[in-house]
Amino acid sequence: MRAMMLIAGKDLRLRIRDRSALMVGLVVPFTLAVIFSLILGNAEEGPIELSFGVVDADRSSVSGELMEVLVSLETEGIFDLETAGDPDAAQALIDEGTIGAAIVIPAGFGEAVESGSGTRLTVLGHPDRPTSSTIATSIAETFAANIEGVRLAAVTAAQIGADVGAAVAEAQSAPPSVSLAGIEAANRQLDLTTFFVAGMAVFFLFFTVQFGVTSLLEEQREGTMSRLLAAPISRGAIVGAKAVVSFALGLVSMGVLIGVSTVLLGAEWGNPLGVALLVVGGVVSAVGIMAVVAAFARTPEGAGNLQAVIAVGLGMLGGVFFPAPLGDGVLAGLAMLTPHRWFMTGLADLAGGGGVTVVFPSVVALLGFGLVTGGLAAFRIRRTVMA
Amino acid sequence: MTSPVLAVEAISKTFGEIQAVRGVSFEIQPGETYGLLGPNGAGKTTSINIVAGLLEPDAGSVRVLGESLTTRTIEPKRSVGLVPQELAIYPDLTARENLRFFGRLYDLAGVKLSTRIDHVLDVVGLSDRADDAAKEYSGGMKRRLNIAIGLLHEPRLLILDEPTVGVDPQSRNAILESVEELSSEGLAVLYTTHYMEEAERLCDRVGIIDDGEIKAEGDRRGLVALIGEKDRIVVETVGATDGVTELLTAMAGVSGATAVDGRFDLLVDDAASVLPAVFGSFSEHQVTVTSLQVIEPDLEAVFLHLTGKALRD
Repeated sequence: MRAMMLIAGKDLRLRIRDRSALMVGLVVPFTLAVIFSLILGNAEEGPIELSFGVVDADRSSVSGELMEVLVSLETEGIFDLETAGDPDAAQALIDEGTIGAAIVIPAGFGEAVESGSGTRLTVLGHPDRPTSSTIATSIAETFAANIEGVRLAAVTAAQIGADVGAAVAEAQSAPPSVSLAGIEAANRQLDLTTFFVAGMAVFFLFFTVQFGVTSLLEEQREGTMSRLLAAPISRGAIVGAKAVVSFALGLVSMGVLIGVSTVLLGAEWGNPLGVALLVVGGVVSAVGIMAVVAAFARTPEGAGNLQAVIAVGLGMLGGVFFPAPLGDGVLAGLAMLTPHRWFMTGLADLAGGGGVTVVFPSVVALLGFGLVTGGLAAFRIRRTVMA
Repeated sequence: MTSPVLAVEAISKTFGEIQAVRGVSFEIQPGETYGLLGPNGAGKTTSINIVAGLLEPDAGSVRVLGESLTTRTIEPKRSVGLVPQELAIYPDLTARENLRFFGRLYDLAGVKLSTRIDHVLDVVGLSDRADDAAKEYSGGMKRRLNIAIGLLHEPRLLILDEPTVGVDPQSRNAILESVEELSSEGLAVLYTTHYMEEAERLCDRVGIIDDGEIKAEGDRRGLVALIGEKDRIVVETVGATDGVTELLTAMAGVSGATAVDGRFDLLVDDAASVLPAVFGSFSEHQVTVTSLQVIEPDLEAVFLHLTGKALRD
């Protein structure tokens, strides 16, 4: 144990001295998380704050129904509504950022609807605010579909000789088709800041821990392995020291990122014990996977290249770069083969308000990755590097 | 006879199809420097790696101070200091940090460790650069640090694997002087080299190794005798030399003597033992000796005779 700690202490000193671990383990992931968070998360973080405009150039009973829907949604606090006199004024409000998009009801809209002659609603938007445009379009399309339903009811009633007025009234009194209740993060989902910090942290964790396990190959290249093997210490102490260094670098990197992001970025990680278990599991899995790569490589450079490819591949497959759902298909299945996905899933489970027990499946999976790959690495190292 | 510090018995090692070492055996006594002399690829480093506990032999055994040494044993390794052929230092650490780290691996600590560090730095002449990063050293300085690490824990056996390869003449001489001094202090030294002159200067006994086998073993004189080579004594003189040639030829230990223009060329079994008698003969005939040169057959000739190839092949 003493020899293992001596070697680990020497390795940590070297890593601290060349600053590479500091850069890869802390500076780069934190910086990238902040940048991603600022670019992608700033406008739509937490409950989405939306503002829409409406131009009612028709002022008919039909356009009044759409206005009624929009006002009711504003009353519910789902978005802010601004009224503009004409399309140019609405576009000006969009351009200055007061509103995200606007629905324009043209003059003669109601008359056209009632006569069945055909008309159209126009949605004004801005290329930088696609979400607002999409929601406004959705509202307009839903309203149009609702009108189409009423019209179909009237036509059908006329064709079968029923009371057209009653059919129209019944169709109009149906529950509102337009509903935007709940435009906010689902329960089991991280807020964007936490997502990006966690994503970058677990992504760069795989680069950070490689410093430890790859140094076994560096000892060979530098010739110092022969001195270590000739020293009165067990061979297990040499391999163990490398694992200890990887583990320590990984834990420190994750711990500092979690602490700093909580204080500076307001990241919300959830139950501390659950987070700690996930971090330990994540570090174990990263050490195991990077160790097995190093064990099968011939040079530190070869190991580094292969480790980078695997770290990037697993990170992409595990969905750490963008908070996009993976669905239930092949991609989702493959994602579950990555420690990254289990780590993020565990954090999302914690974000859903669960206690420490909700992370157990993720932690077991992460430890499983680490133990299987670590065991394979140890077997290989015994037969090659330490033979 | 004292018990040997190192006893190597019939070690063999095969890598795939290649048998790198075949039944190598030798012993080293305290204060003795034993040289493994052979060209690159002869099996020197593989033998060293087995002796140092880096490699497990397929057959044979290694005993240090009577204890079996293998890749898995711990205690016997405390008595062995290894100076590998390749530099085995951490370039980003200073000399002192390198020494402190390796010293602690050998359970040195506190004042004793500091004292030993200062001592070995002094021995290899690196005291004034002890706190510089090793990567800033010249090749020769790195070699000297490499040796210092091997000496730090006061081993009973020091293994030096081609320690002067790629070293400038000044550092090379410093290294050889260090080895001579250590040997005189009672350290057993196993020294591999393909430089004949180093083996002749340092080694009390030499094992000629080639194709993984020790072809012959002994001190320089014994090896030379083995192949029937003789010493030559060349003497320049002035004055009348009548009758001297006959006298020298009849002398015990002298195989032949010729004289041309006052220059005598003698073929002798052992120059050192016959020199007094040779001088006596010249003195007796009142011949003035102006110069004398002893030419001994070197190990290069022995190696050539035994293996049919030159050391640097």
